[in-house]
Amino acid sequence: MVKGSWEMNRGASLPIVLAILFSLLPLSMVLISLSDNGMQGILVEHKRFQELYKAEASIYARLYALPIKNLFNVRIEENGFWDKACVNLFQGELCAVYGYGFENYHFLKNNLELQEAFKSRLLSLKNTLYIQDTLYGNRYFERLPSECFAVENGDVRVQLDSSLNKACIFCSGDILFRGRGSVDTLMLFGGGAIRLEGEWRMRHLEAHTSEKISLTTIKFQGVVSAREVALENRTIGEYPSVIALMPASWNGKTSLEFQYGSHFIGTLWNAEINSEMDILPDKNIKANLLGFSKDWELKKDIPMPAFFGAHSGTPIILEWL
Amino acid sequence: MKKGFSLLEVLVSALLLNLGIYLSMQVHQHFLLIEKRNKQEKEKFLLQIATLDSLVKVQPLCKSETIEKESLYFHIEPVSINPPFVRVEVKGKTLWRIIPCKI
Repeated sequence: MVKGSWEMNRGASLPIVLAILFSLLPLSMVLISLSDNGMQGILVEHKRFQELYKAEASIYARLYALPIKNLFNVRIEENGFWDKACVNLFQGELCAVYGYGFENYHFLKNNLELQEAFKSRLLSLKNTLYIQDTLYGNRYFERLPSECFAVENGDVRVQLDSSLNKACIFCSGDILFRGRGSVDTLMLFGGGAIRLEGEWRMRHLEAHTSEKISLTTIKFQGVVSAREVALENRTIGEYPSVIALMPASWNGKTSLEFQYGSHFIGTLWNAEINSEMDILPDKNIKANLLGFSKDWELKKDIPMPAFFGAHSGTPIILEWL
Repeated sequence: MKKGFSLLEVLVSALLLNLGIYLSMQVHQHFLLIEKRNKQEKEKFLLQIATLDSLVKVQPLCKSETIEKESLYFHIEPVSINPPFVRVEVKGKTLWRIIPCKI
């Protein structure tokens, strides 16, 4: 009788087949486990986003006295000119820095007014030199550094080709700051135009004027307030976070041009109700000014933050109250 | 001693082998389906996030309404008129956000 090929090793193929069969089971378990892990990742991310939104809502609710329940506890750190609202989130915290602005909104016309205003808000504060904003990494000074100097009449022009630790200038006229280097802290309070140009890298810039501020090729993070702000291309982007504060664009529209791919975290503040603010070229960051009603402006018992920090990735909200 | 396989052994082996192949195909199919579902869920989730964020930019009116955007439905409910804020949620309440609204 002619035997088939299966006759060669009797009993050998059955264990092999069984081995193949059983080896598929753990493999299938692994595959299913991996797939479910992917879903778990989505769910975790989902929860993370919701917690972020909830943290934002908590800060909103606290600042604006909104009647929303079951939110996170908000810790308010009162520091005078700049207050900070923080919520514990994940391993760290989400903070928004805000201030209350001037009661009667007007721009200071001269150096004395400038000094009085800022002294009353900054110098009268407590012992610590500054507060560190954990969200943005910015520093807000509670009192003026000793390096400050004031120019009663005339302009200030600074040409500097070296690095600078701190500088603080009060000036009733124009301020021109030109040169190159790195600056840790620069505070400028001007009655006229402020212009900064050159290859500067500024860790903290604070510039306030009733006129125009122009920043050309300056890499900075900080706060800028003026009637008109011109941030030229290549300005911003050096640091991972920037706050640009523009309270006085009465012209109705302010534009910011960012470098492609530059990362912006911060607050834009525009005084013009119902005006628009476009930020180019990153269409993902488009800031809208909120058109608040007159009633709200008159309602004094509601805390009115002059500006509010937006977390990375969220739209920037402009508010003027 | 008898050499070779009996017909029954061959049949059982073939049956088990086929069963194994069938099971592996089923597992593979299942895996593909889960992957597809995960991908769809992720896309849907990202769309929810992006759309919810985009609603902040367009700034909805301070009134109760349900709007359709990107084939998703968002329910808007005022939480406060003065100051003006609304709660926007993806229908089903999986994701919500408090945002300022336009009077």
